[in-house]
Amino acid sequence: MIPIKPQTNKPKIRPPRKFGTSNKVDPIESWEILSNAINDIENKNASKWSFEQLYRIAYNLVLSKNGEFLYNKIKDEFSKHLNTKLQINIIDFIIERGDNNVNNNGIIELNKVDSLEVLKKLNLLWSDYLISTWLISQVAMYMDRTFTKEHRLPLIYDVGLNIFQDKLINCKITENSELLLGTQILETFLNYFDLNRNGEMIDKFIIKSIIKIFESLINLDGDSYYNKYFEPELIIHSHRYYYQIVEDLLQLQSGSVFINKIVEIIKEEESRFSLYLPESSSRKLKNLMFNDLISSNLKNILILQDDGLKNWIDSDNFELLEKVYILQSKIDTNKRILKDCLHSLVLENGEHLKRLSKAQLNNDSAAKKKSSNKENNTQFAINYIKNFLDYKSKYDKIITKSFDSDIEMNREIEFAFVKFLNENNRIQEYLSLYIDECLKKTLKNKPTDEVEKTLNDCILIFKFIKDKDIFEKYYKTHLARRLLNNRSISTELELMMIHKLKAETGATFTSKFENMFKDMKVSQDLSQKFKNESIDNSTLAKDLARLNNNKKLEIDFTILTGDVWPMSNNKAMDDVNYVPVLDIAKASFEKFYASTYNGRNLVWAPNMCTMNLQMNFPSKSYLINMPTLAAFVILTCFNDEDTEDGEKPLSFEEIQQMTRIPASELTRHLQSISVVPTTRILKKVPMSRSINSGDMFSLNLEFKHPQTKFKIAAISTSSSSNKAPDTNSNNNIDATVANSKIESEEEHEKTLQSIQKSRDHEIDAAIVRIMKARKSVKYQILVSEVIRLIEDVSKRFRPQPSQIKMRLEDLVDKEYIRRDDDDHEVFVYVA
Amino acid sequence: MSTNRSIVIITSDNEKFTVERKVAEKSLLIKNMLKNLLPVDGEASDSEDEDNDIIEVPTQNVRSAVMKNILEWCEHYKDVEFPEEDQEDDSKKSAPIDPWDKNFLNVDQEMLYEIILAANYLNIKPLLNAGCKIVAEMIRGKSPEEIRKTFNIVNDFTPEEEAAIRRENEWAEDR
Repeated sequence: MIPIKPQTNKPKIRPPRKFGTSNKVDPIESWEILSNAINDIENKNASKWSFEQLYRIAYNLVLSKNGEFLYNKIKDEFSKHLNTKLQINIIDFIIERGDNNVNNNGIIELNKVDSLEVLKKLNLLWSDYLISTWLISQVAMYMDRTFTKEHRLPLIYDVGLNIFQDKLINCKITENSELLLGTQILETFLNYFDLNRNGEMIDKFIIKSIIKIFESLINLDGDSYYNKYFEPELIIHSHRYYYQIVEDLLQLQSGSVFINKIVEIIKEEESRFSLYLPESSSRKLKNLMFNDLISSNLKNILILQDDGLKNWIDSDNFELLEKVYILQSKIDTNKRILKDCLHSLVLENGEHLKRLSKAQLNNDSAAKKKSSNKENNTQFAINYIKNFLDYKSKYDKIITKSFDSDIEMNREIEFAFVKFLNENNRIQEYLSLYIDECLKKTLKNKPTDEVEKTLNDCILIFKFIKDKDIFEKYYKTHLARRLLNNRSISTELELMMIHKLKAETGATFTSKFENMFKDMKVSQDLSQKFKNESIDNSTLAKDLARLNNNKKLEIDFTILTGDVWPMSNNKAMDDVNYVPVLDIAKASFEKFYASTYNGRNLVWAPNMCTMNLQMNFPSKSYLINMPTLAAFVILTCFNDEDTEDGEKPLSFEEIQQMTRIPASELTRHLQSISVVPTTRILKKVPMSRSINSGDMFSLNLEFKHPQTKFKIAAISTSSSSNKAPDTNSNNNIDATVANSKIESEEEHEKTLQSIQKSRDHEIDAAIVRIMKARKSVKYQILVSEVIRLIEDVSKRFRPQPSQIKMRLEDLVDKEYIRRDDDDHEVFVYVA
Repeated sequence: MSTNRSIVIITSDNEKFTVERKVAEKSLLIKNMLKNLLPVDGEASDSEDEDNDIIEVPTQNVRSAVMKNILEWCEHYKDVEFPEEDQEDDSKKSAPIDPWDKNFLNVDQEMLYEIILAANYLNIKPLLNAGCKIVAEMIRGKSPEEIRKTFNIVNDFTPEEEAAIRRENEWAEDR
């Protein structure tokens, strides 16, 4: 195919000669008229001209092929005209008023009034120029339609605007100075604009008009004067302005002043931007402003010690915190800086919490001096939780009042809570102790909503803590003590708490707690049934009464399901010599129980019981509630009616032989009835704090107590004797100790060991469950499944892969599972 | 200024045509002139405030006989809005001439040229286009000789020149 080329000498259809000849045009003469007219238009003096006449002249000029001539002539005319106008109206004025007042950058400095005048003159010149240029372009309309378009030149009106821009930028103020008019005007304008930033009233109208001029001036590349020259200058100026503000403010070292001032300035600037600047520019300047004012400083301000975030939170300065939040939101939707600061602050406060709880303790114990170390630590744990809750509610308030209830912020803070709470390796025990305190004392006679709130707070912390299996362990222990000693305020409260825990973690977690309640209930019914039966059985009733000083024996049995309760059997208790009346009661209950539940095995735990003992001292008789084993000592060894006053001293070994109570148990019970000053029923020789072999005991006949009815509490195992190495006292919680206290380091260590052991079992169980379902599983998948099952589903703890690996190996050894012959990474379930 | 005001158009031979403004404004020249409110006419601007003021528009390039035709066209199209900007729209270029325009421009050649010139001067784009299309129709399908005859053109090529041009344009010939 042959390309179609535009033909160079295309034949043209010429108009009939006679029209051409009648319109003979002399370009010089025509321009003479036009240029006069243009001059008049430019000087607003065009009324004597006929538009049609001018149009016709221009039309004829273009028709007679003088388009280019006309175009250039008009262009020159614009240029000449502007030179004169700018010189007379602006440059001369600037030079006159500036009076050689030149600053370092070579810019002439003008005062406020003169600056305004310059801007006004420029604005006036511009608006006149716009009108005249437009009118001229109308006269030359035919030229634009034909000549300009054919030659792809800019329309004459745009040429006019370009010339204006060019003059405005490049015109020299004086012949021999480097200063350009554009620079001078920008500087004058921006200085005038800055006056407003410094609080002075300025002519808003002129600011808007000048900015509009800058926007209207568009060069041939489509760039506006505004974008190319004005905006960069404005940004530099603004940056300088913000920098100065920040520098001044930082010297004050006051975060609150800084934040308040910044908020104010941002507000002013934003209204300034929206009033004067186009959207695109306004956005740029806002970014600059936010960066200069907020981003570069926020962190430094927040971490100020005396007047920073810490201080504002401590003093509940919600208003200021809200401002901080708003500022932060402006620069970062993720609010990273604020989050980070809060995070580290919360962690820091975790330390503070410990100190605070300690300090409260010291204040308290100054009041009641006698409290033991252990009690102190227990109180510390309770204070710690209490303080944490106060602390948490403080942050809750901040989030709702200052942070717009921001979920993200809340999450970040809770994240920090979780971190510092779990850094405390005793937190599970603390929480359980706190709940213990609440359910025993604090919540007594409190209105329902307060009860509800307290319990919910406990659940809140419960949610935060990891390793919930440790909590379970402590809670079980503490709950057992409350139940066995009947120390709970009410069963409903206990059940409420358990219900809430259940809602949080699921039924498996709380099933043991619930079973403990079931045991209690069943035991009550069973005791009652036994009593009724023993009344019917006259021989038994008679025997019992005879052996009990002819009084009716009141006895309650509590049957604990073996694996539900936190204490284990103490075999040594089987050897204990029961006092005769209880021996009979025991035997008959065993018979009764065997008839009710065939095939169940009863193991007695007298070490967990208490009994009421009526003691008749020479001065007075008392009704004393004491641990059953202590009562056994008195009844067996010091209740011999025949011996004169029962005053025959017995050695520790003799007592042990008579009662067959294990040495460690005996030691602490003897301690509670012979060492503790208020309950010294036995006299001990020598009078020392500890019980040693060979010590002699006898009944203290001078015993006196302010009340006729009182209680002797058992002394807890560890404080009773340093030397008694109790083999399995750890698993064997001491129910006779009514008050749950914090564990000593050694006890804690043991608890952790037992936790570790039970974790092994849980991991074993999880592995077997998975293997049973899948038959063969790859190692990596198995590990992640185990973790998921235990951590996410059961919500108990996070198993370590190393631990899982060890359990796997153990299970392989025990041949529950084996490694696949072909792929060692795969485990196979052995059915 | 009410849009229904009348405009007086004065032709080169001093004849006056009174027309609705809407009609006159089919000419972009007149339209812009009125829009500018340029005080072209001393008397008109003096009496501007009066309601029944008459604006006179001189059109020195057009004689009354032509103006009469122009105004007839303007009257016909007074309610039609032509697109303001003439994009280089090829579809419009090749569109057939409106039948009414074709009939309207069925005048002698001299009048046709004068109408075209006047439309150009007065800046009436659609009329100018229609006129040019009529002329183009006259050329279409004709041999150079026939075209010369139609437009009264004297052949000023030398035979050599003519042969050269023919050779150059051989590819465009109908075969």
